Amino acid sequence: MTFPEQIDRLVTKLTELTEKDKVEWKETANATTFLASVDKFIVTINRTGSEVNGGLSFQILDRTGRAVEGVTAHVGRDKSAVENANWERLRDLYEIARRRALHSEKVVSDLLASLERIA
Amino acid sequence: MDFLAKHWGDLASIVGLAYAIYLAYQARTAAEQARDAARAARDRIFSLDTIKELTTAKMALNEIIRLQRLTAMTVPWDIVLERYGSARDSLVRCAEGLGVPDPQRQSIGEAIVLLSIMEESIERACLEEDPGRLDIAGFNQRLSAQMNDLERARIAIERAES
Repeated sequence: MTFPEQIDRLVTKLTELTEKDKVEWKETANATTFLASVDKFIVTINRTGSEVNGGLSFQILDRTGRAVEGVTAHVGRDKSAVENANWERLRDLYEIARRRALHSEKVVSDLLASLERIA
Repeated sequence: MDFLAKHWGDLASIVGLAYAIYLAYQARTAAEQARDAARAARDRIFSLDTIKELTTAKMALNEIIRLQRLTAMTVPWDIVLERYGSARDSLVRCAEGLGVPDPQRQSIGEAIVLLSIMEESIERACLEEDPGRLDIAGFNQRLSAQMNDLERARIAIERAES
């Protein structure tokens, strides 16, 4: 099943803006859930199960924490090409959100700088 | 003098009209002032309600941290979950309150979602009878950060109001 058109656009836009550092993702108490505030809304992306092929869910919440809209995606041989493509798009968003929330690029570059100083 | 004698009635009408306009203006100004004062009083009441709810939420978070410092098996999870719920309810009332500046409304919204995620994790762990798997130290660290954010929100609301 394809994502509703607006959700599809939203996932694309969020991925683009996150790449440009224009959306700030934050960690939550759940190590595999990240959230970002965008104007009056909060979006969350969550992975369940395996790091390689776990299910992914994307939710839009209002400021009172009420889930307004959401999609989930799973990957597998038994899934259609569209379902697998949806999952890949959510995985791309999840990965970039995770890296931004954990500041992993900075961690890696700091570590590299430390190693270079040792060498 | 001749002019005045001929037109004193017209002049009196003009003066009377001007005086009536002046009185109407004064009355309008007084009404506007009364309306502004009523609005200010109402906003102040709403703002005090929001601050009260923020304080209630912070007290609940404080208690959650205290309870979660017990070892996982001795934490009264049912009470902890009830406190999460009451903190969230207070924050929802704040998020819906009037006079909350947008950045603070946003951080209150984030706090609500973060609390929901913690609640869900606890519910799952309790249902699966495995609360030991919860990263309680991490939870408490996040709750402390949330309390700081809520305190900043409270100060900003007070400043916006004054």
